[in-house]
Amino acid sequence: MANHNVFREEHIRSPLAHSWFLYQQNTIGMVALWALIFVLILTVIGPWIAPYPMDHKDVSALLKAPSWVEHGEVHFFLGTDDLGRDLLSQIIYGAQLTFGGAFLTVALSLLLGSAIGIIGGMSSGMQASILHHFLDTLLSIPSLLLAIIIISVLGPGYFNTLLAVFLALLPLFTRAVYRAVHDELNKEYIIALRLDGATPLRILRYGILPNIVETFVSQTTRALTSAILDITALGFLGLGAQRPLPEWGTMLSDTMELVFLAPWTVTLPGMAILVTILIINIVGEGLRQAILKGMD
Amino acid sequence: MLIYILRRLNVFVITLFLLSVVAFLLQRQVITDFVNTGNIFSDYQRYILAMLSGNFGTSLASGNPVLSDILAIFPATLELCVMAFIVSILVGIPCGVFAGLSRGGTVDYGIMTVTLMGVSVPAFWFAMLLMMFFSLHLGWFPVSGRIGLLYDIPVITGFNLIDTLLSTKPYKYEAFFDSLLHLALPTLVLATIPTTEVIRQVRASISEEMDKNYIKAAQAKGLNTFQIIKRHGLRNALPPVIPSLGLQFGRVLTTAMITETVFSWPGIGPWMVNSIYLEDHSAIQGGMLFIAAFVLLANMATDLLHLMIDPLKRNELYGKS
Repeated sequence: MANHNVFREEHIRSPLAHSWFLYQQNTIGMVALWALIFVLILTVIGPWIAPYPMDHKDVSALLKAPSWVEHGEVHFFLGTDDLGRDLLSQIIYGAQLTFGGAFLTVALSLLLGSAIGIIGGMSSGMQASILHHFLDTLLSIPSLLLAIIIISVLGPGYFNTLLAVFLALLPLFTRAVYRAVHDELNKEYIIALRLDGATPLRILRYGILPNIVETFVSQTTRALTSAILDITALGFLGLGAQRPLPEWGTMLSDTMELVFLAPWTVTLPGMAILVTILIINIVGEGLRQAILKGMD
Repeated sequence: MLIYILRRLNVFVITLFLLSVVAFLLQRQVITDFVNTGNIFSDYQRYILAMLSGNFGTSLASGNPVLSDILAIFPATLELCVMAFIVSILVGIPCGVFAGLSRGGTVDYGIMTVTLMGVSVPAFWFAMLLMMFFSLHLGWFPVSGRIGLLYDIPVITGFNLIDTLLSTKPYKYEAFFDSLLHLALPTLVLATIPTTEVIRQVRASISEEMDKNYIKAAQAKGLNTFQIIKRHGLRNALPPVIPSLGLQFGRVLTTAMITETVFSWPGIGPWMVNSIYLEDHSAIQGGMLFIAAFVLLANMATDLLHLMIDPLKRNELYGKS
């Protein structure tokens, strides 16, 4: 290809653009990223492309095996469950409940949690100390237990699950952002900025935030996986979404008795959960590595 | 050391206090027939005095005091957790060392791929898969419960493995192996989380230590890799891993609750879930306080253990680093 660059000077990318360039070299990471985009699209347009409506039950096709097995039919690509519901449609609808729900809760708690964390991190003294100890208390309780406690007050249900997971994730973000901001604030280049007369807002925007992107990425990855695991676990325990909502964990919980008869009703929804979490982890870890390398 | 223990205890007590306040407020919110005098402080005083004397209230479902219910079933959960931690240490440390030594190599790649799978798999689904394959398909392990119904073992400690050996029944060894078989699958499910964590930490820690000068000195002396790892590498790489293992305890305990539900293990998990179904609030609240206090206690214990083992950390505390 012809080189249009007339000047000898090398173009230097910004650190974040450089990180993105590094990430593109990572083949597995890119595959996972495309898969993640695919899941996101599926989550948004799922209801329009699912072959059957959410509550469609076909009494003439109970416990059909997946299409690639003997006795399977291609109209029920992944087979059906004991009420004749098409598994493929159920899993597509479930993406909205499980992945979409997790995505929304994580986005909200990321916004609110980091706002609190930044305010706490930029301040010092009594205010910061109270926040610190309060968060330590909350973090000593595992997120799922916290969610179960909140559910026990609010009562089971899908919306309450999301609320509980949101509340359980908040301290995670707040704590991590608080720590990162606090650590960064004590470094010398920030002191130099301050000596130059920068306002706190300016220090935050140009000094701190670009340097704690890694914290945001790794915490978001962790939060997304733990949100999906918690939502599905609560669904499985019968405390989250209730049937007929095809939440992936809920789908698994009523297939317990079908383990013998129809193993595909157990393996396929679980596979959906596993693959989703796997690609989130791969993308998150790849981005983190790329950002760490790009910073150097 | 004594000063540090006192300071750590202080934090523990304050955290428990905050926890009790949260639990108290929840109870006030939920239980309508709670005798409210209108004054929140005197209510709290009554509440905390009852708690301190070990009175967690009476379970609405079973009619027993909540604390005695919890103490009766908690050993089953604890047995599972302890076994999971033992497995995670036995498997995690060697795998972590191999991965750390061949950082970037094939072995490392293989171990890290398996670890990534372990982090991503939902515990209840993994449990169901294992049950499908090993219990139903191959028939190697029992599907559920703690011990076969044929064995009648009196409860002494609540830990089945110990109880079977302590009992004077003629079939005590058969009973012991039977409870081991029952433990196998739940332990495997539960061990995935701490094992992946141990592998990651040991790997990072070993590959950092191996670049240091004292290792080069040991190599120059002519020690082989095994000796270097055994005498120098592990001794410096392991202590920093201990606190992260303690932090895993909370997650293991909650995962145990899910695993127990799948395997019908009579532990605290099914009990809590059942209490939520029945809206048995004094049981929920007692269980929550008990688990949270136990997790805090475990965290504190691992912190102190770390301090006893790791002299570098001790120096740090006294400002001598």
